[in-house]
Amino acid sequence: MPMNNILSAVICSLLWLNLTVHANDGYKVGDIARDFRLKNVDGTMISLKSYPDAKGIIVIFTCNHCPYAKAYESRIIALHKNFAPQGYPVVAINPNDPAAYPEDSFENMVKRAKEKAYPFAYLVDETQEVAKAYGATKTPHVFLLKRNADTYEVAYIGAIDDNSENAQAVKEKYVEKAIEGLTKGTPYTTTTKAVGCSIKWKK
Amino acid sequence: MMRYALGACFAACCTLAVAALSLYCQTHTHASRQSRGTGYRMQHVTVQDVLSLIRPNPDTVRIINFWATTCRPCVEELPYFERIYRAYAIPVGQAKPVQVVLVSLDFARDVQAKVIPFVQKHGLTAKVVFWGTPKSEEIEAVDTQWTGAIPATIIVGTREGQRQFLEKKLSFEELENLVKMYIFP
Repeated sequence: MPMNNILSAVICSLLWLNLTVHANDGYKVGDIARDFRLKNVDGTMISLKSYPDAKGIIVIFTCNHCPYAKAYESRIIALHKNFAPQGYPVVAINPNDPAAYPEDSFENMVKRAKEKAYPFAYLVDETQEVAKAYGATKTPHVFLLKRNADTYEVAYIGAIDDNSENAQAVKEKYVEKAIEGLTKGTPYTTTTKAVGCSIKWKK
Repeated sequence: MMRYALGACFAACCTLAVAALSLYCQTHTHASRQSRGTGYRMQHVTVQDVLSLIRPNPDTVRIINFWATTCRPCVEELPYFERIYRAYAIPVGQAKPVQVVLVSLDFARDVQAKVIPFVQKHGLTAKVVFWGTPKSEEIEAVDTQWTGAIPATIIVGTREGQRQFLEKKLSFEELENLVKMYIFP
């Protein structure tokens, strides 16, 4: 009988642990980000290791169809142009199920990347595993990674800046501030929030 | 006696018919006035207004839905909120009335061109207000669980601490089950 009690206590705590782990899905600032191997719009496979000289990576979950992603498109291009030469390239990842939005299909990603001459990698997360592992919930959703030799640590999670509607009216450039924080050691906000389109998960 | 009862019954029926007709006319003329696009005023709200909406109120159950005309899952679930409002706004028995507030997060430049025409086209009778794009700290203040993705919905009960936040598209059944849990305090 006591054995049974112990057993149920163990099972209960395991179940509880499982629930808590589930509730905290995704990365927090300070976590080590996993690598991935995803197909780029040019057909090559890209992983974090594809950037041997990087000091960090600006991972942005984004897509074609979402109005917030569209509003940020040119700002994402500008981020890459400004920060790739400093060792912080943008890696854009589209996690959306193309069945929900045909506009987000790989073919349409290729088309959009060509039309706008994306200077950064635009990857498809077909299994949605990367978005799930990172804890991305919407587009656009930024995860700034800082390189420590062989690993990448999450340094910032959130929005690109504080005004999706109007780039001219931006007061806080969160991602720029965070990169500046990493390079110069200045303080920065590590987590922010912004309205975005929910990721369309496969059913 | 029999004749008297019949007369009373007839009078009651007439009263009901007149009431129903006037109610129909009210809603009908209201809708057509809106569809002509005149006189529709969209109330603008601030984070303070939203925060007071999500505080429990002893007299009403509130459903606050954050949406945008450009968000397809939001537009798909919007009729469920309208249905809930029409079914539960006037309480039955001991139930508390349900108030629905549809908070538009559209871009400010789209209020006239998209939001008002949308509300008119769909004949929404539930309350629609315009908030625009909230800032990082405002999203956090509304609910720490909210990552900023839409659709998102908060249901607030009549007692302290009775509140649920959902960052996903709801089915009508899910929504109605939640409402049923909250309307009987």
